[in-house]
Amino acid sequence: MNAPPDDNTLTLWLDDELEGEQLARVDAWAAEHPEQLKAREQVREWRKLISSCLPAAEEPPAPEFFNERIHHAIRETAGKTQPISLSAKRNSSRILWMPLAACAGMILAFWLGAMVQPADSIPGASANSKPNLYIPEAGVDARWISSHDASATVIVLDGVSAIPDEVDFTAMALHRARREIDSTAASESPTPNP
Amino acid sequence: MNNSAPDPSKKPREDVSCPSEEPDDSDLVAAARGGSLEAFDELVTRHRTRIFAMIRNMTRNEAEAWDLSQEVFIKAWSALPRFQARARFSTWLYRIAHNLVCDWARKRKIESAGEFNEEILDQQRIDAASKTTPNSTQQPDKAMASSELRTKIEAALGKLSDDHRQVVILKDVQGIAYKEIAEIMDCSIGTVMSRLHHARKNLQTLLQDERPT
Repeated sequence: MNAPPDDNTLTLWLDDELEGEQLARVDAWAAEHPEQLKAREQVREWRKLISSCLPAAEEPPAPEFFNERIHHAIRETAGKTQPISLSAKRNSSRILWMPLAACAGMILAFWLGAMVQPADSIPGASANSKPNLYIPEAGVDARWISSHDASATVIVLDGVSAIPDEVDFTAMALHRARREIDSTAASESPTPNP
Repeated sequence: MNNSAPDPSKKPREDVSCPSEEPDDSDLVAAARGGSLEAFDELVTRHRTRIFAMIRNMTRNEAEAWDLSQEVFIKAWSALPRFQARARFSTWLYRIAHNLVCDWARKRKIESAGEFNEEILDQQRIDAASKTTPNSTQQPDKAMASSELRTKIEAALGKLSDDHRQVVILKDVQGIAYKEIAEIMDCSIGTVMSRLHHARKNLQTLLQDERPT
């Protein structure tokens, strides 16, 4: 005569989680206990009912965009979240210098900002060597100002219509262009800056 | 929609021409830990369907499930250095998903200050159209019965506590073993068994009149 299984083993058997010798032992015991066989059948029917109604796997909408957004988030937080390799751990003392470097950068940026004059009087602004600006929208005027001393380039667009609040720049930024060239420049007639 | 999709970490996918050459999860995890986004992308593709389905079944909200599923993978990426290979990658992902869904439910309950139950659990407010996409292999009448049953099961699941709902989804929908569920929910196997026993009993009572003849 077979010894009855303990509660945990019986529960595992009812849910078809036992294997090998353990399964054979409980099977032999259950053969003399039809109520247990019936209970197992009910559990099986129950699982079948639930799993037929609720999906175990379902492709999320826009699966490629799903992955792309994850990539984007990872790239954005790369400095903080990238898995740390062993060599990176060895160089962790660099982290100690980061606050100092950040402070020095801020001071430098502040000094540069204080030095920058209004656009028209930027020393070294290369207004004479204007590049060709292609504006895909008619009626928009573009000015380009570059200051070598301030290491800054400013493009001023006059006449651009207001951007609606609902435009999601995050989503737009996720579309990785295969080429660096703006495709709109080829598809629409460009208006060169006079 | 695939109700019986295999766990991608267990079996190679049938749609791959050379399944034997496909790296397993541990290889991809090792590559991802070395900084390979490509390897991590493959892991995302392999596991996103089950993670998304699990979260969607828990939240009953596609948009929330979409966002939360992504958060699972983003958190997984940042926590990869702490991932211990003794656990299966899928189990680890489920655990992250479980924690995120718990946080989400908690926040939602606080934000709605008591309106959570009415909003989520009120059967009348369930958008039937969102759950009635028929399976192409089903007869229309069967498909309708199935979608109605799904709606009822979801409504009944919504009446369970978060822990009970989660254990039903992990066991009866995802088909995960007790031991793994215990790891995911960070509790003992005995607790999982007890929760599942009570959750099934409650669900069966709630669905007593809804089961097909």
